[in-house]
Amino acid sequence: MLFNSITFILFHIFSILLYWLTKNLIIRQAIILISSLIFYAWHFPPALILLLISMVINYFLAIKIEKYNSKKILTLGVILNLSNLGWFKYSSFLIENFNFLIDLLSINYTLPKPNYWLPLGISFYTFQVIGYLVDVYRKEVKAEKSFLCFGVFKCFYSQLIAGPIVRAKEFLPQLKKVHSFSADKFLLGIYYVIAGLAIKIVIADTIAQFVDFGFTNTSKLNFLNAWVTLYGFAFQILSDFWGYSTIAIGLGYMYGINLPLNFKNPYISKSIREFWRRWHITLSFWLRDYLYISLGGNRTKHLRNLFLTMVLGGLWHGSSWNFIFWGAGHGIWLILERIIKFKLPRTKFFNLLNTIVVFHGVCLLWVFFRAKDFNNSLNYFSALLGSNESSIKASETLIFQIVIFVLFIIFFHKSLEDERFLNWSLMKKSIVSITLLLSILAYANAKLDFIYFVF
Amino acid sequence: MKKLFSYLFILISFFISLEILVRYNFEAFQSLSDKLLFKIAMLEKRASDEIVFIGSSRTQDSIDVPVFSKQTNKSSFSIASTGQNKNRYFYTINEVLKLNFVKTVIIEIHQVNLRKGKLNFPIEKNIKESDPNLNFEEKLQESVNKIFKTVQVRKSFKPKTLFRLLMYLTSNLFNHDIWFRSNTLLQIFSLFNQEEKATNFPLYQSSSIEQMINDDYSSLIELISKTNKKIIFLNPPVGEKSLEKDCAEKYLKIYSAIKFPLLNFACHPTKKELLRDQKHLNPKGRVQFTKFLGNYLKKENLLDAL
Repeated sequence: MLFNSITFILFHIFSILLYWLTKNLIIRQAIILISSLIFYAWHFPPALILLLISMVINYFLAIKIEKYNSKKILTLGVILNLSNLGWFKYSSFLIENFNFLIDLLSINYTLPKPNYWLPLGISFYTFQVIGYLVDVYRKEVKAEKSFLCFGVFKCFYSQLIAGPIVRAKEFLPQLKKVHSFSADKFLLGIYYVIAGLAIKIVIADTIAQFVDFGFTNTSKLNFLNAWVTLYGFAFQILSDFWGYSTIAIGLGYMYGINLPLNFKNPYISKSIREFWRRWHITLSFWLRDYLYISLGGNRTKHLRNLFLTMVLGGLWHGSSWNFIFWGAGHGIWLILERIIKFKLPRTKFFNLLNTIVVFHGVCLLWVFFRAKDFNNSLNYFSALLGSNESSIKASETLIFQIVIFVLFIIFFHKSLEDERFLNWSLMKKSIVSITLLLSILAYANAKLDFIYFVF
Repeated sequence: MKKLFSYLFILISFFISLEILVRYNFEAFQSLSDKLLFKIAMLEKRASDEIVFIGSSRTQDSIDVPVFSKQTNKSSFSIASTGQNKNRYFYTINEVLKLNFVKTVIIEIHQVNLRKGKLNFPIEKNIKESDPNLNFEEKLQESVNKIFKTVQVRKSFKPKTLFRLLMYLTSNLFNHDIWFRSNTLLQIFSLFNQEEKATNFPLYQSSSIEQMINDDYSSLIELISKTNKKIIFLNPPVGEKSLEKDCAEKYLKIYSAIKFPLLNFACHPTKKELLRDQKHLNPKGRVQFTKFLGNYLKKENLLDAL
């Protein structure tokens, strides 16, 4: 049940109606929880068992952590959650590398590769719950006693699969109140959902066809094609993930729940540090608060901590060396920014120059992220240097889509960062919404998964 | 609350009105959302073209219609379009043959269009028939597609539709063939480079033909046998890798049954510099080939009406 499917739209409308028809807090929580479990089971029912087990264990772990203020229980909780993640997501990668090493040593032994399914959203809900356990230990939040409430926190369907990663201290108090229906918030929710769907369907899915072709036919890309395809991917991944997060926030608004922003126009960043404050914000802050600080933060060996944080952040995205290289690249860049204190004058020209340099640096690192393996990355870099002869033309449609998206960002990104949509005139609201809906209708022929579903 | 209701009211009213509008103008919307139907609509509106090309992207990229019209002194139009299949192809032939003002129809013929199997008119029933293997979500989507006409013509809401409307309204004034090709910018630049000379494109001359084809072209043969229009079959030029190796055997049945001219350029390789890829000519090749074809048809008196 993808957000961009008719089934989901009907399912959501039904759930919302039930939710607002009652004023009983427990029933409301139960409606969200049951809806979330149905939503999760829809994709692959057995995965629900894993989610429920994780929910029960973490519920009790948090209570015990609070009761005994025990670091050991916290450690146990973190290990259990990471083991779960590791088993399903990284075991295959580890065994592959183990077999490679054994082969290098000429030992005649091969570990069989496991064939597990990857539970949807496992990386997201694992990080979210680890953050919660740490917060309980740090006494930043009280352990949730209501299983219903905790269940909703753990698997609220609007953000369960691909974030934003929410903090218990921001999310749980919202569940404890009986909200009265806010027409403004509901209106805002509708706009966010429509805009998010448009970003995903009109931009991301259209660009995806060209990018997929480019990355699978690297040898056919000449200098111009390679760069256009890379820009295409940079905007595809932004529109795909930003679109998802925007829909998630909108769905939350419809329940009267605020979810944190995940994107703030990241490609205008003037430094890589700023980029990470604008890109996948909830993950960046999670990595800072629960990994970087736990490793020692700025107190000791901060550059090592920074590098490790980014490498692990890269690995979080997927079990391959390419994601490690991608994270390491960002880590090295962040370290260089900290070491080299040289600052350019703060004029418009140099700001623009910085933005262009940062954007291109980020684009180059996206090659590792998108390429299917290291060799494919190297081939792509070679294409970027113009080493291939032209055999296909740069697609005008791709360039057109990129331009459309850039214009969309320029004119609309602010309306998706705050509540300014509510201040628009009814005419403007309607024209913008109808235009977006017509675009969704016109381009909704290929239903592609969201990229971050596999993370 | 009033704001929310007003907003929802406007949105819902708009889409109900749109659905009504589409229902009453379904054919027009369908034409706008489908390149082929749109071209047929434009041809009908122009009502002045004596020569019509029908085919796939190969013909689209091989024929420069304004150049061809100038070369032959006859107004011409190309319905050739990308994304063809047997049904659509056959439907197009049928529609064009109904038009009185058309004197000559040049039909692309190659193994894709006339593959083994019976050629039929588009069967709506087949298109709409449910696949029993659809899951719940797909069935739901299919139901929505069936109920709402707006969804069926959804492509007509793409930005280029406005452009198409403009093209339709001005179709009597200009030949818009150029806008249907890929790489529009390149096509525009090619307009400044039409001084290309007609290059000789080797034509396959078949003398002995053996009965070896299994394809059933009966529907097509029956259809074009009845027409009083001049029919010419054309197989546009290709690169070395896409050469048709069994030229003598292909198209046998249709050729021997109808005896209409078959101009087969796909049996000899075309120069690489004239190709966009192995199956399509580039703008330079297109202009050269169009000039060559125009000259050839004139020289052989193939454009004279029956």
